[in-house]
Amino acid sequence: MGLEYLSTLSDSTDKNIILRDLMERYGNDVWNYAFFLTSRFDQADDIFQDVFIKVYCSMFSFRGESSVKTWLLAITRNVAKDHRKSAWARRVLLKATIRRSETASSTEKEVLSRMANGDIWKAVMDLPEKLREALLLYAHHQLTVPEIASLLNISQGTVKSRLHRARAKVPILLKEQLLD
Amino acid sequence: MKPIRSDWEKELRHFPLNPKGVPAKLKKSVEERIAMGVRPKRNGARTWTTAAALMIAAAALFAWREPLLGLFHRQADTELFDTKTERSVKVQWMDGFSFMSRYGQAFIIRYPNMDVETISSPPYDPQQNMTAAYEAMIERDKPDVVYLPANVFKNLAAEGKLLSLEPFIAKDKYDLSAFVPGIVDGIRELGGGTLYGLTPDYMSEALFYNKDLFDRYGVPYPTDRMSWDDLLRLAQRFPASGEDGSRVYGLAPFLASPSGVAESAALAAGLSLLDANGDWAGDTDGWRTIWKNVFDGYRGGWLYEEKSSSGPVSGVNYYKRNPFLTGEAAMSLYHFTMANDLVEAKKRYGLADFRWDLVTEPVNPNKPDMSPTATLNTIFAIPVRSANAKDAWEMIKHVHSEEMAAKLAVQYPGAQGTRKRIPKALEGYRTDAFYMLKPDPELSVRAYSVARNHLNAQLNSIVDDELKAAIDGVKSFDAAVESIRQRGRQAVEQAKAEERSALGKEAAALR
Repeated sequence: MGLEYLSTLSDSTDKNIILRDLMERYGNDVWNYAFFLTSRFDQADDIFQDVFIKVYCSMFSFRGESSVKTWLLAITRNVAKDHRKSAWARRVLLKATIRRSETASSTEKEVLSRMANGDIWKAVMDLPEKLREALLLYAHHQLTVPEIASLLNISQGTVKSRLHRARAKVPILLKEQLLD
Repeated sequence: MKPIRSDWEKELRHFPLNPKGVPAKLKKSVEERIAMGVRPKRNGARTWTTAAALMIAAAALFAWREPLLGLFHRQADTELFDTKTERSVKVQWMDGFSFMSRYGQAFIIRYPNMDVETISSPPYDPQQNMTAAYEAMIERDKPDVVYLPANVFKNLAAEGKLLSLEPFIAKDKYDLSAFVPGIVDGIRELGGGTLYGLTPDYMSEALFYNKDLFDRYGVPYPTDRMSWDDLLRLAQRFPASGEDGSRVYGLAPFLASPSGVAESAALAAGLSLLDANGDWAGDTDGWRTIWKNVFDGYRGGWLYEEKSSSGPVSGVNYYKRNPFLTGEAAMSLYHFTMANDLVEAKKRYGLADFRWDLVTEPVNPNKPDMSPTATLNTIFAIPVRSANAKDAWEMIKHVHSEEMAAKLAVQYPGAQGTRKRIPKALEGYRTDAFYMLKPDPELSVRAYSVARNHLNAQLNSIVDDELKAAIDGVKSFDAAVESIRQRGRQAVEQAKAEERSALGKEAAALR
């Protein structure tokens, strides 16, 4: 859906429409990033909802210094961080079964393996978290190195080194998959 | 052992988990949670909406320059319409939000003095009388423009609940000839001779054929207005031997199953498994002949049967599921979307790299100008008591304008519009095959008969069971026909008994 009408936006603009369009355009990026960060479908769903509700409530405001996508990904990252904290708290307090959140669980792995290029995605999800995140922001979300650096609040050099290490590691993980 | 791929990084561009985007349910739950009470803070809202707006507008304006400009330099025929006073028009559509992004926002851009209010259609409920549900909605919400399923449209028109569009059309000298022939007539027929509505899109089928395959096997190209017999005879002439992947099918029907082909052929022959009273009507020779043709077609291997496939459905795999796009089927009956798919599959993946064209779908030889499949889905109309009939008419004109048609053709390239226009990518192809035949208004009404649809599904599965048994050689064709007739009659009788007992209960409840 085009966002063409935004050109004549005024105060009367319906926020709901913008919300819809943002979800339509960037919903996939938000959900996928949330999944890459948590490796859990259910958490990605929750984070997706919270991100757009926060956007709607203007808890984060868009200042135009980044692209809309980077802005939404930054919110996603924040929300995911909050989620992790509260999920950790829940686990500790309720002593519920602990699912490791660093790598994908068996359900998610199962689904990944059935997807097109499932082997690659499985390998990527098995990367250490920091390498995975840098790689996917670059290769999946198509952010530039400076954008990634500012999103992750690290130097561009660190981004490049993480990308480099991730690229070296994926083929090794792929090879391991073939072996077992 | 397969080698490690070196281009893996490129593959990461597409995460194939939600190929069609995030599930609608999830988006809906965001909206629901917001509606349930998360209240936005007014001021902050403005900062980001405006900023986001400016930001996106620059990019969007560039991409959408053409359609946008199209909306602005058009003033001529609006003199009678008040473009000064601030007011609003209320529209009922499938859901209000989508209406705004499809038509509503463009309307506001065109007429800045106008606001558009939307309400959603009554929920689809097979247990309910839909006409009554729409009447109640009109009574309660008082919309100026309504969007009605063909059967509801017909009933409301007959009850005098809709406003005739004829005076508006006469006054504005509105050009109905821009519509596909038969569309306006069909809607007029539903209104008992008066035009009470218009529709921007509809559905029909055409016969696509692969010229390369026809040439290779020396089969003459199909022609407009063939009968189903002609069509099956052509399909038979393609060799049906070989393994999947290298073999060829004569025809990939729209509903690629024994009962699907039988149903399509029966529609063209004017046959139905149920008569006007809803009684079993499958004992005729006509039906037997159709089943025999289907049996021969599957037995002989020239009819394609849909495979229950799992696995990825995104990207190239989406196109690979269609045997015509992969060049495995010589002919295919399909909706307008196929034309677009052929172009896209070739452009994106190099699939469908063959010469093709299309002719009309097969017809009933007794009614060669009628389409056996075209239906008018949903029709825009004005309730007779609309307080803003003039604005409502302006909205209806806007929805059916050439500018909107052009915009929607870009946004929903597979949809078939009711305006005569040929997408650029399809110039040179016989797309008129889609528009040559007239839709049958009665078929549109029947499509909404729920009880019938349920029973039909049951009957179709009986036909499938039995014909498949015969095709697989488990039983003889004659035995299969005998079983279809026996089980079919039983299912119809049972459905009737259930209907009677439901009516009885209703009556008892009323007492």
